[in-house]
Amino acid sequence: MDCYAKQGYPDGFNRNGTSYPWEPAMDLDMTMGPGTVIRPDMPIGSGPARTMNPVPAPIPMSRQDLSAGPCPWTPVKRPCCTVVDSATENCPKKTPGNQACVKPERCSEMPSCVMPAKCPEKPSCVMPARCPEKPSCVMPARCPEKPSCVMPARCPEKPSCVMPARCPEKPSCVMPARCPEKPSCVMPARCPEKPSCVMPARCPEKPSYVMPARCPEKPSCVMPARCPEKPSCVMPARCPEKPSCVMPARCPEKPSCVMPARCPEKPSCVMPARCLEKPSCVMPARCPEKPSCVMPARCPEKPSCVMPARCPEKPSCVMPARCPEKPSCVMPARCPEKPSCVMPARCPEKPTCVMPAKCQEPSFTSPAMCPCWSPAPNVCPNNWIPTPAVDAAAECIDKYPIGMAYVPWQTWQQVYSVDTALGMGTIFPDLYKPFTMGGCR
Amino acid sequence: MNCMSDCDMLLKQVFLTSFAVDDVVLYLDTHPLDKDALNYYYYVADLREKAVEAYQEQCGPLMNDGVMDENCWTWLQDPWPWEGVCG
Repeated sequence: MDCYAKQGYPDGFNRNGTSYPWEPAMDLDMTMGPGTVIRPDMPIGSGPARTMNPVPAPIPMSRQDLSAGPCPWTPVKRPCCTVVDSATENCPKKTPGNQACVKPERCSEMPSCVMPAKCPEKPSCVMPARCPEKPSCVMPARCPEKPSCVMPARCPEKPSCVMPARCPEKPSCVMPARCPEKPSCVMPARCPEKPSCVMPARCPEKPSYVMPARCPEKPSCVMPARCPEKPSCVMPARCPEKPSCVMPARCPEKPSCVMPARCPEKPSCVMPARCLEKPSCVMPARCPEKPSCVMPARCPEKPSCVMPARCPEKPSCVMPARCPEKPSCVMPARCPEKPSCVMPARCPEKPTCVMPAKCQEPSFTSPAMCPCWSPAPNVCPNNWIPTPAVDAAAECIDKYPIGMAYVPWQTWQQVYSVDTALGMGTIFPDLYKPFTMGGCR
Repeated sequence: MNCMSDCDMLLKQVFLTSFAVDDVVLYLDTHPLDKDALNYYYYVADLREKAVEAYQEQCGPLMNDGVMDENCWTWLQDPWPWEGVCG
């Protein structure tokens, strides 16, 4: 029976005409009522009474009768090791004079449960329980509200430091600590050597798999893991489906912007980001200085080859590549159906004008020719005679746009004989161009 | 050295006709529909074939597919460049 159960008997609270020892100490006048019913199973009038008048002198605690059992205000007296029965509770560190040894007390509801021991120097500090099989192993403390919740162990040197909990199945596996405010939030474990270093959490199914840390502000945002050698280096997150695939990092200013991943061999080399819809499609990387400028993607087979950029309005349109020496020069684009076919270059002054181009298809219309130009007749290599047709060609040259190189179109003519062609170096008299000192014919 | 001079003359004919064939082939690469060029090609190609055949009959195979003897692999019998020319 506790002290509250003694309050208010139906026939009065006084037993044999005497009041209980604790009544004066509590300044209670149990003759008056009704007050607040402390226990619903007790009759009305058994609640706390009003203060007595006059107030009796308090009775010292040491003179109070404790035969009825411990009262709420009575501190729990912990027996010393030497007074404990060795047959029932055997302290492993039992020594005759070890008064400071504090054994963990047993929970009254679950005697098999070992409550965390109190530190003799700091009673408010909860010391981690010791594993019965391995006394050197520090077991994580149990949360008083949720016994099933494993609280991270405290570091003995730095109580404020939260040590990662140990996995019961694999003691060597470091479990991420739980956030006290959000138990479902997995906090990254602390590196024992560098507490400031945030270690990525371990995947419960695959302990060898390093999970990216969670952003405290946006738990759904996957933070890139930190490189152990260079903490300032942000390592790209790993793709959950393909751990070998390096996912592009998120831009801290624009989380929606996918930053190209860094090449592990050449950190300065910007790897093109992967397209979410088509992972095999290499997206052009963004220029760090001009985000609006789309850098040409790198060919996966030939990193030195610059792939033409894609037109933002028409992704299917292949924009002509830029000449590396003259960025203003537009290199002829490749035909998507016939990569070997060089599409005619566009005139920079007149985009609608198609300059003559080479084509492998026989059905392709021959490029335009000057109407004044005609093939030269059979020319003797030793007596070159200018012909009116050649002179006319020189006059027609003024009609051709400037700034471009032209190769006159060769036509069939009377050829050299087989015996002399080898000595001349060609079978075509028009192509007989011997080198002479001081000039060429 | 009549044998050597005959083989040299025949080999020179092979060179002459082969050069003409190579040059007209270059022209035909850019003028595939030129009838005159095509006719000239067939003409010099035939000349070259005859020159090669004449050389192989008298002096031995020029290429390993020019071996004509059914009983002996004559490809090995020709003098090699470092072995002199008079067999």
